[in-house]
Amino acid sequence: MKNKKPISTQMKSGIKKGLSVALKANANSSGCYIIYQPKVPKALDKFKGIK
Amino acid sequence: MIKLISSKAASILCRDDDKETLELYEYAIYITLSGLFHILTVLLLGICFNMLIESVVFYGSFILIRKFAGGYHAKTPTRCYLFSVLVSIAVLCSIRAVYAFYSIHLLVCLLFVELICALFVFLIAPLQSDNKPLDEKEINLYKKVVRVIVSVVFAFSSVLAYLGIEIVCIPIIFGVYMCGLVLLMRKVQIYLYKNRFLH
Repeated sequence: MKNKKPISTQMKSGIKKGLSVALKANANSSGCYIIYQPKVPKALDKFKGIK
Repeated sequence: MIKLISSKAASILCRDDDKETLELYEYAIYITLSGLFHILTVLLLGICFNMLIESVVFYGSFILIRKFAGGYHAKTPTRCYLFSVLVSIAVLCSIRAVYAFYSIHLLVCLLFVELICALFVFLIAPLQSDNKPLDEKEINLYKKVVRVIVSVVFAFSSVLAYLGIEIVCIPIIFGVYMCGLVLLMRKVQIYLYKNRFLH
């Protein structure tokens, strides 16, 4: 019997992938397009295309 | 409120992850929700003013340049939201006024001012924010990207003006104005900040 991941785990994984796209877009731009830029976490550096 | 939602959502999403990953996804949720909230507000204002196309085109052209040009950022999310709403309302009212007093001379003046703003963006951008500093490589890359984008946007708006498609051309012009304005505000902010420490 195969071990199937619970739906909640699959959903979390899917949401994280979607958020990773937003992080990549934000990391590779000068900042938010809205008029408020929150402080960026250090871990955002791993999403940068330029190193 | 968005900060609270982001924090709670991130803690559920990253229950088994480390603190660094939690902060990262909290930031991601925050910027996604804030962005969506702003877009919904712009759409709502467009519907209220019966200028949905103009609203979308203005915001789209503004975002396209601002993403890489940077510029002024408010100190708090509330100020940010209020500023965005006020500016959107002012722009929609201005577009309506342009339609009311429309003439070729007015269009040429608008394009001329757009050219000045585009040149300003071309020369000054990018300007980093305190919360997201840029290194030299990023500044050089984004400078090239912004120059290409603002040139294309200006050329596109000129072609649309020539073809008489004002419903798209005029919001794009105001989008470029806004980019110039936020860059000017950031330049003034930096100048005032430097002077405060020198005196």
